[in-house]
Amino acid sequence: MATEYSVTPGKDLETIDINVNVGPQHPATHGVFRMVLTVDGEQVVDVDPIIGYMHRGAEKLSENCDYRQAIGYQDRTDYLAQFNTELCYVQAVEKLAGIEPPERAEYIRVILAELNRIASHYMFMGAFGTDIGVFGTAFMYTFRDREIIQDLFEEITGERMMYAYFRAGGVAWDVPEDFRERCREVLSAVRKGIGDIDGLMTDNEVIIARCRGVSPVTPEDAINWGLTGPMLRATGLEHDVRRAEPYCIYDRFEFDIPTGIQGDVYDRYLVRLEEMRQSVRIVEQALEGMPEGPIMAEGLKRTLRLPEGEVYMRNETPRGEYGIYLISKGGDKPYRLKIRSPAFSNLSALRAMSIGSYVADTIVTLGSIDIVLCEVDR
Amino acid sequence: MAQERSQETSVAEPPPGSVADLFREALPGVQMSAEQTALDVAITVRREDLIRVMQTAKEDERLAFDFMRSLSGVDHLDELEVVYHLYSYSLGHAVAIKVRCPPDDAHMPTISHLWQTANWHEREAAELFGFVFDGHPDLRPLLTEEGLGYYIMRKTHPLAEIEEWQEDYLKAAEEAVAQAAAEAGVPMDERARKIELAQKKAVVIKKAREEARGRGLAGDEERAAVKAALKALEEEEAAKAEPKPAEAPAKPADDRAAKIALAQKKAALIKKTRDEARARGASQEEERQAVAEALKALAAEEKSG
Amino acid sequence: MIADNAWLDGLIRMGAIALAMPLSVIILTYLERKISGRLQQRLGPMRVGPYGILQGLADTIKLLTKEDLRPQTADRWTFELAPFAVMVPVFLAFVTLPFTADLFVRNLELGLFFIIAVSGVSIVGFVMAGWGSDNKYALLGGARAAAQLISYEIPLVLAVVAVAMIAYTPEAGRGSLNLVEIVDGQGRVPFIVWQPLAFFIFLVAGLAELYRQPFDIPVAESEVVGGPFIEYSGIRWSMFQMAEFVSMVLISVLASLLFLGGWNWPLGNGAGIALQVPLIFVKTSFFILLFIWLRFSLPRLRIDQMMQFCWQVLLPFALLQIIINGWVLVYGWPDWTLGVSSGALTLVAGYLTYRAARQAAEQPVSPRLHRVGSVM
Repeated sequence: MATEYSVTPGKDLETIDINVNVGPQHPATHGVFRMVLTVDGEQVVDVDPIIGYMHRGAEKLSENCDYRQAIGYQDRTDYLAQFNTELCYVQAVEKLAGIEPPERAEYIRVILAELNRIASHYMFMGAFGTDIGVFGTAFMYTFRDREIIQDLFEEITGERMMYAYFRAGGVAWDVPEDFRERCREVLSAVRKGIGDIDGLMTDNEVIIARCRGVSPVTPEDAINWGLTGPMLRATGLEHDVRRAEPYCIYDRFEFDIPTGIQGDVYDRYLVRLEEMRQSVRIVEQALEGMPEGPIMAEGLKRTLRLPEGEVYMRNETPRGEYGIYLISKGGDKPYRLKIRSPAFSNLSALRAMSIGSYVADTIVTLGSIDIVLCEVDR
Repeated sequence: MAQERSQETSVAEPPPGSVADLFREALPGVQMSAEQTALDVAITVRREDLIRVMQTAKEDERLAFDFMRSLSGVDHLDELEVVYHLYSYSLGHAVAIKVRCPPDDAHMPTISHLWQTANWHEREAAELFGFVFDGHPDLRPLLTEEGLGYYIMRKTHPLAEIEEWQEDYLKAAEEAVAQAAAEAGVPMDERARKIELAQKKAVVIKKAREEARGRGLAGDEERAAVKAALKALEEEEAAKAEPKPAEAPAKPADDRAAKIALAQKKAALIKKTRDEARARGASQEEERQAVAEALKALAAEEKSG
Repeated sequence: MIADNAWLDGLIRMGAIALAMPLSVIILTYLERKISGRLQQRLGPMRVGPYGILQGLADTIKLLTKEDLRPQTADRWTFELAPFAVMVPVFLAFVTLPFTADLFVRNLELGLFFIIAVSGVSIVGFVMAGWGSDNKYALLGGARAAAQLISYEIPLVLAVVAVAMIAYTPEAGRGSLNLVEIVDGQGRVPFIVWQPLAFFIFLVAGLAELYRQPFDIPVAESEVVGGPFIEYSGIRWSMFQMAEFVSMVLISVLASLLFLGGWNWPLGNGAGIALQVPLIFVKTSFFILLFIWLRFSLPRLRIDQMMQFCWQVLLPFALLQIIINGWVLVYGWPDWTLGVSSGALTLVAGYLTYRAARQAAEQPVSPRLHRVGSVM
C-alpha cells in the first residue's frame, strides 16, 4: 500500500495526477451519471463521462408496445419535458398514419408543450443555481413557480409526471372548462417568477464571474459536436426547429429566437431565461386563438395500424432537438423506434468543453448542459 | 423478408428537384436509390461508397450537410442497416442516408472524423447492434460499461422467443386462428356460441315461469322451478359439447411456457458462460464468441432432446 | 474575580465558556435554519417543540448517539484527532476574548496576538481530516482548505495589525495588543470610522476563514461534497460543525470589539454592565446575521478567483493601510486623516473589485457570424 517516493535534492518533487470519480452518487450529476476526472491539483486534465446507469432499453420496449402504449415510454425519457417528448412521438405516428389532428387539439398541445418548456427551464435555473453554489435559494424560488405549472398539468391530466395525455390524432380528453382562466393565472405567476429569477441571478457579480467565459463554444464546433437547443443558440446561431422546420401549428405564432454571443455558460443561461419569456408569448397567443371543437381526429380505429413507412420527426424540446425515427412494417407495433436524445449529443461534448478548465468549471459546464439522464440513457 | 416487402410495396420516388437530385449531381457514378419517406428523402448507398458520399454531403456546397442529427441502427432480419439523418443549417434541407450490411459482417466505416457527434452515436450503435465502425477512435461500450456479450437491439437477441414483437406476434395469432378453425371443422365463434346459449336460456326461463304461473305456484316455488329448468338445459348443453376437441388455444399457451423456460435456460447459460469467460480473463470478443458457442450447443441439445 | 483562588477563578470562567459555546451553537443552528427558511420561502424546522425551537436539542441527541464511523483505509490517528485539532484552538481563543469590560477568562497583554496565533492552528486539523480520510473529495477539500485559510490569514492579520497600531490609551499611548485596551480606546468613535478599509478587509477575510459562502470552496457541496468532513459522522462531525459556529461567534465578537467599539457606544464611555452586555450582544448578532444572510444569497467563487482576490486586492490594500497608519503616527497628523485616507482607499478597492467582476461580463467579443447561412 505504501508508495515509495524518492526525493532527489535540487529536483522538484514528483507530482501525479489523480483520478476522481464524480458520481454516480453526487449532488452535481443530476441523476445517475458518472465522470472520471483526471485532475492535476484543481485543473482538469481529462474527463471520461460514463452514462448508462438509467439504460432501460426504452427503444426496445417500445417495439413490444402498440402505438398507444409506447406514449408512456416517451414520458419516461425526458421526465422534465414530458409533453414535448409526447408531442414528438404522436406527431411521428400521425405523419405515418396520415392523421390530421383537429385544431383545438393542436392548440392544447402547443399550450401544454410551451408551459412544459417553462417548467423545465425553471428546473434548470434552480439546479444550476445549486451547482454554482447558491445554497438552495434559487432552487426554492424556481420550485415555487414550477409547482404552479405542475398543478395545472395535474388538473388536466391527473398526473404530476407521467401524463400520457397526447394521443395520435389529438388529446386523450378535453381540458377543464376553466382552462383559459387557469392558464392566465399561471402565466401571470410565471411572468413574476421569471422576473424574480432574473433579479436574483442575472446581475449577480459572482455568477457573472463564475459563468462568463467558461467553456465557450464556437458555432462551428457546436454544429460539429451536434449541440442543439439553448447550447447551440448560445453560440449565436439563430436556429430553432420550431421556426426552421415548423411542426404542429408553430408557424402561426410570433416569437423571437434568443441567441447568445460567446457560447459560454452565461449565454446558455441567458438564452434559457429569454426562452421562458418567449414561451409565455406563445402561450398567450395560443390562448387567444384556441377554438372550440373536437379534440380527436374522427374515424380512428381503437387499435392503430400503421402502413409501411418511416419518418424522422424532430421537435424542439427544452434541451434541444428531440428526434423520433419510427419505422413501421405494418401492424400495430413499431418495427423500430429510435430516440434521438438532445442531451445525449450535448453531453458528448462535455469532454471537449471541460478539458483544461477547473474542477468547479466542469461542474458548472455539466450543469449548463441541463442533462436529464433518463433521456441520455433511454 | 425485407426485400420481398420492398418489392411488394411501390417505393415512393422523391419529387424532382429534391435533395436526391443534388446527390446524383454531386456524386456521378455512385450507385444510389432514393425514396421519399414521410418527411425526408432517404438515399440508400453501398457500403463501399459511404465515406465518399458522406464526405461530399458535408463538403459539397450544393449539399452542405453540416449537422449529423441522428444515427440509427436497424435490424431488417436479413440485413443490418445504419441510417444517418443529416441536416444543413446553411441550406435548411434534410436527408437520410442508409447503408446496409449483412449481419455476420457488420463492419462499417466510421464517420466520426467528419462529425464529432457521430462518436457517441456510433459507440451506441456498436453496442446495441454489434456494428464495428472501422477507424473509430474509441469503440468502448457506452451504455453498459462492461458490455453484454450479445446485442440487445437485434431482433435475434437471446430472449427474442418470448418477445411479442409484431411480426412473430401477428404470424402466431393468425396461425392459432387457422389451427383452431381446422381442428374444429367448422369455424365456431366463441362469442356467437355464448349468445346462442343465452338466448336459449331466456326461452327456457320464460317457459318455466309461464308454466309455474299457470299452475298458480308461489314466488319461491316459481324460482325453484326456473332453476331446475336451467339446470336441465345446462346438462343438455354439456352433453352436447362433450365430444368437442380440446380447447384450441391450449397449445399455444403450452408453447409459450416452453419458450419461456427455454429463454430462462438460455439466460442462465449466458450468465454462466460470461462469468467463466471473465474468470478466465478473456477479452470481450472472446467472451462474445464463448457465449455464441454455448448458445449453439444448447440449441443442438434442445433439437436432439 | 469570581473566586478568591486564581486557579479556581480561571477554572470557573473556562467552564462557563465551555458550556456557553455548545449552547450558542445549538441556538445558532436553529437560527440559521429558521432564517434560511425565511429567505427561501420555507418554514424551516417546525416539528420539535413550538416553532421547532427544540430542534437543536433533538439534533444534538441524534449526533451524540450516532455511530462514529471510520473508513477502513483511513489513517486512524490522523482521522480521529483531526476534529480536536480543529475545535480546540477555536475554544482556546476564547480564553482571552473579553465580552464586557470584566467578563473574560484572562485579559492577556498580547491577547490579540494570542487569538490570531491559536486560531491559525486549526488549519492543521483540516489538512489532517482531508489527508486521513483516504477519500479524494476529502483530499481535494483539505488542499483547498489549506490554500484558502492560510492565504486569508494574512490580510486578516494585517487588518488587525492596522487597528492595533492606532489603538490608544492614556496610560500606554499608541499601539496595543490588549483587547480591553483596544476597546477602551474607542470611547466615542469606533475604529470603523478611522479604519473602514481595515474593517472591510477583516470582514471579507473573516468570512473566508469561516469558509462560508461565497468562500465555501473547501466544503463545496456540489463539487467536493463536504470536503474534509465527507467521511465523518456522529460526534466527530458535530465537532467540526461546532468549530464552524464557534469560529463564527469568535470572528463576530472580534469584529465588534475591534471596529464597532465593543461594549462602548457613542453616547459615552464607561457604560455599566447592564448596558455593556446588550451592546456587545447586538453588535455580535449583527455580524452573525450578516454571515447567515450572505450564505443564502451568494454563489460560490472559483478557487483561482478567490486566491486572486486575496493576493491582488486584499493583501496590497491591507499593507497600504498599515503604511498610511505608520505615516500618520510618525508625523502625528490628526485622526481624521486616517478616516479620510482609509475611506478613499476603500472606495478604490471597491471599484477595483467591481471592475474585476464586471470585466468578465464585458470581455471583448470576437467577431462572429450570427446568421444562419454564413456559418460554413
